[in-house]
Amino acid sequence: MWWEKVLKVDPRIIYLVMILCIAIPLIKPLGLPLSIVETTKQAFEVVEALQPGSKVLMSFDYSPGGAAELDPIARALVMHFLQKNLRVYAVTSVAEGTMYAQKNMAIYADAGKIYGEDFVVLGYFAGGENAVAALSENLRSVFKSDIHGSPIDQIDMMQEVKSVRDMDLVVSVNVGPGGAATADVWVRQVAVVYRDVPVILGMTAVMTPNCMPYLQSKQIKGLLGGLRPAAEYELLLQQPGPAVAMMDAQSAAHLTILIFIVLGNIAYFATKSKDK
Amino acid sequence: MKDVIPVLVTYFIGAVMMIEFFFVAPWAISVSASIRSWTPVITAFAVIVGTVNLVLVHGKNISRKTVGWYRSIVLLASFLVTAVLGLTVGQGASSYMFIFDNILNTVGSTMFALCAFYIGSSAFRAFQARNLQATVLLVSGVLVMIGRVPIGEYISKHMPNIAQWIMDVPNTAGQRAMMIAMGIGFVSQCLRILVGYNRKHLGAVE
Repeated sequence: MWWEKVLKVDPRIIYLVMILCIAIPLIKPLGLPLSIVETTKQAFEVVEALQPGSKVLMSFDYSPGGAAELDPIARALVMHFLQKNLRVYAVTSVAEGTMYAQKNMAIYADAGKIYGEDFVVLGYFAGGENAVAALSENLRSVFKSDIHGSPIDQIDMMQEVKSVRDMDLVVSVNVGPGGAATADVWVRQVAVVYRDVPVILGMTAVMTPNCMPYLQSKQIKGLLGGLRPAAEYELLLQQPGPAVAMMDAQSAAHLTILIFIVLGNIAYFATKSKDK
Repeated sequence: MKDVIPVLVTYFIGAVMMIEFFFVAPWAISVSASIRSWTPVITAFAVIVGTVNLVLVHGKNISRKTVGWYRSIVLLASFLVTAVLGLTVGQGASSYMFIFDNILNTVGSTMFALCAFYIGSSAFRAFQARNLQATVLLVSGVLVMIGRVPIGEYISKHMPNIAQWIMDVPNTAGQRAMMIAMGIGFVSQCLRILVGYNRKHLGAVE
């Protein structure tokens, strides 16, 4: 009888418990230990191996829906690029991605880097997979100007690049099927075609299992899936930031869901044995 | 004629793309590069069509005062303000960023965050070990979920390794099998479209 009541609990109680379990660690972090897994180290080492002045094509392929998980990944990577003095070409296949490109590249501007010499925001490209193939082959076939309307041939750092072959690293921080160019697209059109150019993918945790085969086959050189790798990356940079701060809340949310699963199963078996 | 020309265009473009990929043919490389560069332009036209459609549909809602017509006013007003600001002051302007930060970003994140509550509720009601398959799914899901967050390490130092093993071995094996199967299916579907056997994209009913 009691377990039947438990199974029929008002969902609003579940929602309230979830809110409290997520909010409390955000307000008062628990400081749980966080080790660094091999896949994150792998991505970090790829960036670490680049020489100062190397060119990075970074695609901010995410919208507000995935930003909570993906923006910390993009931010951590941009911080690393800044530490290494890399030159960044920011693009996006998602219309709203332009805002995230601008916000993250502001880290470069705030550090005194010069627009057009150290970083450039080329902005949004429409056309999904075909457009990725086209820009990989010839950036100018897709971008005629940067986000401010300056013709790209008048931008200093554009003089040295024609295609993805001229890049030293390609990164896509990718929301998945909601975005125009999914993670698979970057593998198909860049990682497989331009094998000398390493590709790192950032994605939501839910997308990570789909892309693990690409990492194992070494088609991509790094995979950062979800908030945890972002937190680990911040620790590797020795610059704990928003991702580290959010990890306790994520731990609490996962633990709460686990408790719900256990309770739900106990209630299920208790009522089932009673029915028999 | 209405069907034949699109099929011929599809066949020609598909054939050029395949020749470019599988053979060293400079003419095919040049033609396929041109075709690819048309994509952003064609997609941009789709935005115009979408915009006209959006205005027509919601304009009708307002003029006919259909259920929820006032929502259409909000939509068209938001659309107009964002478009005018984007086109006049530019996407980097503080007024445009204000809309992005305080409306779009906040609303988008809120919608996605609601998933946590639905997952919480469904974890309680639906994730039950009803049979062997469901039990395997449940146990592996729980191990990965808990092993991927710091509290997993707090419970046991082996949890992250267990979670990683599940991701690396059984998950990757399953994903690979699905990818290969989907790839073969995709190739056969593409061939059917290229040779004009499948014409659903042209509005044909099969």
